[in-house]
Amino acid sequence: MTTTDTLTQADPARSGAKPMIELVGLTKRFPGTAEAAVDGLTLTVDEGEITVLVGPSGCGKTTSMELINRLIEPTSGRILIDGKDMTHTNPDELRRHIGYVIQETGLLPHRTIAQNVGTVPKLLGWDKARIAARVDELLEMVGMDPATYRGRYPKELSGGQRQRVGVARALAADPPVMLMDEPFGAIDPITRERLQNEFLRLQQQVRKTIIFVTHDIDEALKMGDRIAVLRNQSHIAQYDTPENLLTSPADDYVSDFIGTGASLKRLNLSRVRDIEMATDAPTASVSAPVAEVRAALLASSWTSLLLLDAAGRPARWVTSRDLARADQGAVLAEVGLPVEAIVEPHATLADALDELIASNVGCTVVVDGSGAYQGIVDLETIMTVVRTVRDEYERFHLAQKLAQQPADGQAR
Amino acid sequence: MADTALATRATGASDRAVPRRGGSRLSWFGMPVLLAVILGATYLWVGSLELDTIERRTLNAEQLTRSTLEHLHMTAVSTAIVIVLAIPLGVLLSRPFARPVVPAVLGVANIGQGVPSFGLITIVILWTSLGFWPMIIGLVACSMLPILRNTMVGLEQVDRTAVKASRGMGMSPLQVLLRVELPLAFPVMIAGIRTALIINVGTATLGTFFGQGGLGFIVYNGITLNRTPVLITGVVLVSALALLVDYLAGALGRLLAPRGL
Amino acid sequence: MTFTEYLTRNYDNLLELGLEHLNLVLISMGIALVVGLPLGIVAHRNKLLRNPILSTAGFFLTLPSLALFAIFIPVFGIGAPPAVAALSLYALLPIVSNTATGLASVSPAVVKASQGMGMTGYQRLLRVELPLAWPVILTGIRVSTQVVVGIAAIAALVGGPGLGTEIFRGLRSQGNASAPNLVYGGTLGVIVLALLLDAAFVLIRRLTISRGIR
Ligand SMILES: Nc1ncnc2c1ncn2[C@@H]1O[C@H](COP(=O)(O)OP(=O)(O)OP(=O)(O)O)[C@@H](O)[C@H]1O
Ligand SMILES: [Mg+2]
Repeated sequence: MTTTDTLTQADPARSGAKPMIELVGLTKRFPGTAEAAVDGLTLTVDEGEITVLVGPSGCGKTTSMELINRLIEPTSGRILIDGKDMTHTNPDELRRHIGYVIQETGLLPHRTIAQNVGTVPKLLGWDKARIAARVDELLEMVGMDPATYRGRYPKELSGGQRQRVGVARALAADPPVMLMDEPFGAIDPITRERLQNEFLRLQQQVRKTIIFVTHDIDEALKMGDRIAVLRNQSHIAQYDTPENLLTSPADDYVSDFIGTGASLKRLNLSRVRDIEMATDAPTASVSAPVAEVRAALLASSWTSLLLLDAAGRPARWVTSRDLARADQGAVLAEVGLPVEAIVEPHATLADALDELIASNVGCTVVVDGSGAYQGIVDLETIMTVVRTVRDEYERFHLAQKLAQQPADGQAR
Repeated sequence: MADTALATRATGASDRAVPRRGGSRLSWFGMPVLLAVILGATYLWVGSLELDTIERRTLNAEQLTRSTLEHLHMTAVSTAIVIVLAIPLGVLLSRPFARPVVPAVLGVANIGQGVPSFGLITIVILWTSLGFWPMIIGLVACSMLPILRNTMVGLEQVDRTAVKASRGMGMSPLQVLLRVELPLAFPVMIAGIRTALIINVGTATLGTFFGQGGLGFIVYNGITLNRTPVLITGVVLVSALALLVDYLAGALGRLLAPRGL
Repeated sequence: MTFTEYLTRNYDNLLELGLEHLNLVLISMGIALVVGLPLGIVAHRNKLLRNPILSTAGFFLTLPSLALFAIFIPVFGIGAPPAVAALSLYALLPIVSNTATGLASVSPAVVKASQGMGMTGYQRLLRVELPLAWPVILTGIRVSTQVVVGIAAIAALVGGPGLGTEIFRGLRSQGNASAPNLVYGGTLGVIVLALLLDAAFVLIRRLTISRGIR
């Protein structure tokens, strides 16, 4: 915060990132209520990151969000955006520079998709041609063909498409900051998954500073660079990276909120490329002589061998019994089992496990971008990861018990 | 189809036109107090004037009482008749066998708003003769549509699942009508009756043009004789009557409404 | 004289009366709109004023038409002005109440979204709330117009213009052979005018309501 010059260079490492949104002691007490809806929320969000607010229904997520763009005026506390105090600026002006995706989408039903997306640019006085170009660009960006959808009305779109338009609309004037309140809330799990992935891809391009609200911990773990787990009145139970949240939850509230299966969830955070896959599996070319193939298989500790095609892509799994059939005249490329479970290095371990369970041989083949064989992920590999997480988790709890007092000052 | 939709929507709006008037304490006591104040003020004002002979010919207790009674008579008889006619007709039209004619009826009801009551009554009188009953026929014709329409709409908007559940419990169609549909349609129907009542009070004012007297006599005397005190007295009396009748109908409707609605 | 003969002979007279009638209706509706729309907006935005505004507008609709016409005679004299004043008051309630209802029915999510995009209160009203409430408001205006067309016939009784004069003439010449024709002509004229205006509203609806909310 002090040495701005070092911050001008985009530094991917978190340590050097510059704070974009700072909330200081933000409090909102609705008239006529005993408890504050948001009580002393202090939070810093770094530039270009997605910070997820997650917590049970009614804990104050929406209120916190709307305090930031001043749809709700705070009772006390300060909001700094890019270092400037926003508490006393013109709220309408402020909101034109903060993209807001509201919980219920809120597209204007009497306006076409193009007019909806172009709302803020129009408020900002852009000329028609510029707005039109921007609208097409954004529709393209959220994966909707501008020619098809530009002239439609919200009621003529599916729920998922409306959510996309909501996101495009929030991005319209290229605001540095975006607030997204359960943007993928009311849609089916499959579409939600797809929108999440598309949004993460989009974020790679646009690098906005985003506050993202959800009550779904899995969505939080997937979307967040950092996650703030909230309890009632927006009290922060833990503000941490997804990894730390899973491996060392600050207290029982957080671990309860993460729920059972933290280890399984951890599999979502690890990528295949980050772990040590088995590379000692026996391989041979489909066109190799059977004897040579058998020799390779016998030389290994494996019961199956992976046949690769001319380009090095996995073709079939064969056992010694299959090789015996090949001896009796069967073509090598037709014996054994086809390779079904294939993932690329950027896949998560959860994906790899999924493939593995569904496959016929109990291991997943990892290939590179061109499809060439890289290595194998088997149950053993995945178990190692799970075990590490569990050990760390238990060690943490032991430490907590011993110390009686959590080291983290934030927790109670 | 489109016509029906428009008709129903228009109904919704016009029904709101008369009866909607909050549920606060003000609405229970506000109107009687207001009426008392206005009537009292008018009485004091007229009493303080030096009335000439022409004015005195109209503004005397006997004439005022007679006009008021005539007015009430016309209103009460026409409203009673229109209720007896229109509600059963509305119920009949809401039965399944009448479904084909419903859009037509609602369409006519919609247009009916544009028919001038003045012209309608004159036509009735021309076809029959001057007299009390022709006047009543005219009044009934003018106030028929709101009750009919509200009965139909009220029955139509009854929750279908409630009807189905009642049939499922073994009620006969008649029992369902009497115990479920009519009570549930009651608020909308009473709004229609109230509208009809207001129309009748208002239209009965025209009775003086057809030799039937009523408070219109005082008002019109005030206009033709160019006597403001007479005009004001007539206007105040007939307006107070309309507001009182509307108030009483509203209060009665609220007292009679099935609980839970 | 048959009714057809009467019509062919009095065609231009009826047309002129019809135009007078239309004029009366349009002026009254214009005044009612100028007063009623803002009142409806206020009734929607201000909870305290909501009930007084709606009750007052309802109050006028409860008054007998002849009384409302007559009350303005001491102020404006006989003729069109008291009629315009009375008709404007009659037209008020459907406009006010439908404006308030229409605005209240606008989805809060949409209102919040427009606020979140930085629209000022005025922009929100003009670009979002009124367009979305418009179908309901338009229905109110249409109901008002129908009511006013019918009641305007009574204007003749206070010396006002319009088709009511023809009916009144027929009533006064009762017993005369031409009397029924005059009454039919006037009454039919009002009905035709009401139908034409209704058709106009269908057209206005088509033209002014966004396809997105139709
Ligand atoms: N306008 C208001 N007046 C009074 N209380 C309010 C108001 N808005 C919200 N609250 C209260 O503040 C608390 C927080 O509400 P908020 O909408 O922020 O919850 P949330 O975390 O977004 O919940 P959800 O996940 O259900 O959207 C709730 O207890 C709610 O009842
Ligand atoms: Mg919320």
